Amino acid sequence: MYFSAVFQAYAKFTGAPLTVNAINKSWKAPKGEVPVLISEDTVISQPAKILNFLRKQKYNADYELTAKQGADTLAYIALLEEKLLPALLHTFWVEAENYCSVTKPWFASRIRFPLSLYLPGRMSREALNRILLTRGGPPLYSLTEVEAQIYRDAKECLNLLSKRLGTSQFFFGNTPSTLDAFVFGFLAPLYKVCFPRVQLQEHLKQLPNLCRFCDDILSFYFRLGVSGHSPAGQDSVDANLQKLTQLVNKESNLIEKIRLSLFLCRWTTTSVRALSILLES
Amino acid sequence: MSMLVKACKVPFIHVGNQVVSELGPIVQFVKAKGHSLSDGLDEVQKAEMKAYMELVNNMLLTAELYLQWCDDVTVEEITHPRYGSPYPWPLNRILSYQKQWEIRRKMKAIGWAGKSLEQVLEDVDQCCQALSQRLGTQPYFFNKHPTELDALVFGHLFTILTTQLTSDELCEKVKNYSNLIAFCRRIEQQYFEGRLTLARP
Repeated sequence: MYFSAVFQAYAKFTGAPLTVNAINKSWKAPKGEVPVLISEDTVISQPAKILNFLRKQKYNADYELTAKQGADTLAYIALLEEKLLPALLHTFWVEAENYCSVTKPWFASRIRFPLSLYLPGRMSREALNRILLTRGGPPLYSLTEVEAQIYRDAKECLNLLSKRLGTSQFFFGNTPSTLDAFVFGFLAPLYKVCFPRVQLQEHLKQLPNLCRFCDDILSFYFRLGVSGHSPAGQDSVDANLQKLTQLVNKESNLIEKIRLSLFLCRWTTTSVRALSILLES
Repeated sequence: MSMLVKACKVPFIHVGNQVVSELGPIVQFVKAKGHSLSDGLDEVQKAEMKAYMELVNNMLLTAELYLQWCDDVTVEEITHPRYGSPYPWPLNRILSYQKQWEIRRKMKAIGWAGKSLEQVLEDVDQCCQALSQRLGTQPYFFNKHPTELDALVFGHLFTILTTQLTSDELCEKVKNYSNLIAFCRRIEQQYFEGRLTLARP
């Protein structure tokens, strides 16, 4: 779910002509896993490889970064995966109230019967398994102790991201980069989904610069205004046409040759669609 | 001591009736006693330091575990004999297979089980490149004074450079970055008075 949001954000930042195809059976994806990127005959499934491919096709959000900033990007992505991801998995898939009232019905509604009865449960078990294998073990013996630790780490991670972002619009200056895509991909679902058990979400909402960061990207790159509706009318059509014209003039052969399509599991796209629904509420 | 080892992970420190294990908690414990290497850093630098520490854990540590427990040649020739050496047969084999199963489960959970050795070495190279770029020409990662990050990076790099495995591929990845080698040598000379053995070219 998070990596799908990351790639969509990255594509928006770089102007990559991405077509999102939702599927509801991940094993029918070209490599059996999602998200997967298809460009002509090339099929790529791993997150790092997808980003490398996009960069090689000149959709590079890090073009203006220095070597040190590139290294910082790698470090902060590792921080997100090590410190924030376990708590996100727990919030969505393990915390019983959240899972039963939000996540499970949400995902099950996008999967065909009878798989809707089985797959959400499997994803929940995999999430718990990952948390226990990576964060369990001595001196943490009970699930309660592990849960307390992963939420402490996640809150510390959010604090660190907030300090790093400061008052800047993006993490490296005025244009978004890969790190912004990753932070957005991880934070936006947490920020916008209405959970009954909200300790991590409440902590995030106490960091106004991170909330502003998510809101700015949603409104500017995903064209979702405060009302939750896309700004209709000629203005957005003209802006899109102008952007497309620029791309065609710059890379005319490339645009014709590349048809990028990102296969996403149907349930992963609901995360971004849900952001638009929840903005309305 | 064996009961303490069972109760927590190594490394650990034993202070009075307290046992504190792993780097993070040990650093916090020492800080609570009034000693900290990162007090002079501002908030942004502290965030950066912690991010790079997670980079080392996320890439370098995982790659080391992969090489030790998921590369069949290394497992048979180096890891199983070494891990089981304190125990009599058949306990030596049982415990080492149990540990291997545990690590491979973890690798599968985090998506590393499907990686090839070449991909893992690429990740190590990427991590070393990031550390090298961050270090630059400075003596330590945050200029003149070492911090927890320097200790963590030294521990991992020194181990990689001095541990003999079935091939030198992992070691060679680190040796591509001369400033990282100089960093390790500097710490060895200054804090261990050259008692550790880092091979000279």
